[in-house]
Amino acid sequence: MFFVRAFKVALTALSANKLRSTLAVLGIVIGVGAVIAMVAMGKGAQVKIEEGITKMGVNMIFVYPGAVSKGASGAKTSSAETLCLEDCDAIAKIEHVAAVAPEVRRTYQIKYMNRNEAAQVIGTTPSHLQIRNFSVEHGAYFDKSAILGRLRVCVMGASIARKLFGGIDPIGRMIQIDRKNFQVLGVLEDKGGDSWVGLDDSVYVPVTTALHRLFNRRHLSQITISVDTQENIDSTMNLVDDEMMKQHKIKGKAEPDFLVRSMNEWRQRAAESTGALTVLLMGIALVSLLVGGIGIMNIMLVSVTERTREIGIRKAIGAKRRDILKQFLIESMTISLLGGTLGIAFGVALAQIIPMLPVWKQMSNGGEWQSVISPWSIVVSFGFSCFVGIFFGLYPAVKASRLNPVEALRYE
Amino acid sequence: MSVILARKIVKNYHLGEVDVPVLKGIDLDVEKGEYVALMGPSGSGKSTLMNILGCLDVPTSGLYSIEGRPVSDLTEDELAEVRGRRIGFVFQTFNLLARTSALENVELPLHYQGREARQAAMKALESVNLAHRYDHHPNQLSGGERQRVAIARAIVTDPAIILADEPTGNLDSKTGKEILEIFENLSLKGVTIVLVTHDPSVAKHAHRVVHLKDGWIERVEEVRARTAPRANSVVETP
Repeated sequence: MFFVRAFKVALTALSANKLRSTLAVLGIVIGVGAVIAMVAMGKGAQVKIEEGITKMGVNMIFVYPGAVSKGASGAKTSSAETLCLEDCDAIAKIEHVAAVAPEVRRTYQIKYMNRNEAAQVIGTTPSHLQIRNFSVEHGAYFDKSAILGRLRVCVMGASIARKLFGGIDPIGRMIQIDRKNFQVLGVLEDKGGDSWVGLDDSVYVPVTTALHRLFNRRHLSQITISVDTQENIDSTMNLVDDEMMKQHKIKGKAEPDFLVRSMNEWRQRAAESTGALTVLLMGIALVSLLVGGIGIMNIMLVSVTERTREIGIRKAIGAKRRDILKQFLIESMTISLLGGTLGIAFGVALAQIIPMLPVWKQMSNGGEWQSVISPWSIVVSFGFSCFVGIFFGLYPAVKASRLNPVEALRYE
Repeated sequence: MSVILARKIVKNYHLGEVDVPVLKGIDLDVEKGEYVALMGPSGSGKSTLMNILGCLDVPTSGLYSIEGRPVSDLTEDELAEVRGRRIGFVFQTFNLLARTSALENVELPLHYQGREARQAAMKALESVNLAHRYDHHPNQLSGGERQRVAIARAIVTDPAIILADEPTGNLDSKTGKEILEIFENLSLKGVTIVLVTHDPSVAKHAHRVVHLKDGWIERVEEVRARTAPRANSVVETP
């Protein structure tokens, strides 16, 4: 009963100055809306990146050359020459290892007739297909004999094939990599969306061809391993580590010259960095909510001054300090509650609209970056707006409650 | 028993470094059911005395008690409590809350006491013949009607005293007369009234006129004898 009446009194007082009240409410609406929309965009990025990683296959372990000092923030995939094909063979014998693929990479200009495209050339084995969760869309993948024979054949990613050949069927045609002719055996399925990983933009050649006939080196860029089930990833990682130590004859406390990482670790790293991005975005949005709170304080201070006489009247007929305090606090809370409620609607709407904007589509590479509204951002922003209403309403309300009734009644 | 008992009331105001005495030692007794007018030129201290009698302000020194209860050293909230329960104010400028209906204005003092107010407020409005206008806002009412709402608000709590500060000052003489009639009726019903005015024709309605000058009571004039009250109160407490 008390709150219904108090709320009604607050609404009456606020509607006396509609424009001013609306502006104060708007400050909170924008603040709450910004928090919800920003967090939704951040979450969207997170989901998007995790999807990409899942698409790449979740049961993967990577072995990189070179060492990384403990506690370093990122993996140093240096060009140290420590991994070789023999390591692959050794790893393949480990229990729970489903497939092992060596990878050696370099970027080249790829030519077909008079067309020229820069692409990553990856030397690998047919296992790569299984590990990376790829299938051949058209034609065939090179087989073991191509690897043994160091044949100049290749399989193309969907995207690079499109760029280079346009509408022409590439199967059987010759392309030039580093001025050497390669025959196209097949085209891979279009994974799409993973442009940052670049698998659709790569050309795959037998690893032996790549090492001996293209790059002229003996060492691998990385070894990719797939494990049979997800539960075995950790134990397999340890086994791989042990096996590599044995292969490279590293004993005791000597620094290993390789690095073993799982996809999970990559996923965690990605989640950490997008999580940090989300928190940053939310922090920025919370500042605007704070500014909205200052707006509330501003109009409440004006309101207290304007209504000095009303306060005097109320005190004359028996209002105590806390009655006046409550009245003005409820008024500022009404602003923040109204703002918070409308702000939720605004934020949800904003989170739907932003991904549809052309600018955003351009930025997010084809508009697949959707927003994901998180319930806790709604709770946090609404809660914070209530807090802002109380916090910034408190000083004006205390000021009102302390007015001297005689002077307040005399106020013109 | 005296409803108002004031002894040696002194009030000083600080103006910069100096203390300016406004009331220099007022002794005043008002009996239950009495109708007293405070008169005096401006600057005589009648408004200050009124504020002290109404518990809006506290004296610098002296003793003041309402219905035997000393109030000169109460806290601000205790004073508010006394104002809400035992005092009814009627102001020259009406001092109704705008954007609030007549009924809600009258209900307000009871709301601050956490009491159910609707019935009592309607009754108070009836007693000033304004029940039919209960849902009008102050700006939809004439000056006389506004003052009647203010009187209803003053009597709704069944207070010990009604303090009226120039209640006819903003009204034309005809409406002023109507308002004075209402006060007369309240007095006949036994309500204690203290009225501040500078108009002798208003003051003559009182039983007793207290003339103030320069912070002192200059003289007290008995205008007419009290008639026996017809009823004990205007509004019964629910």
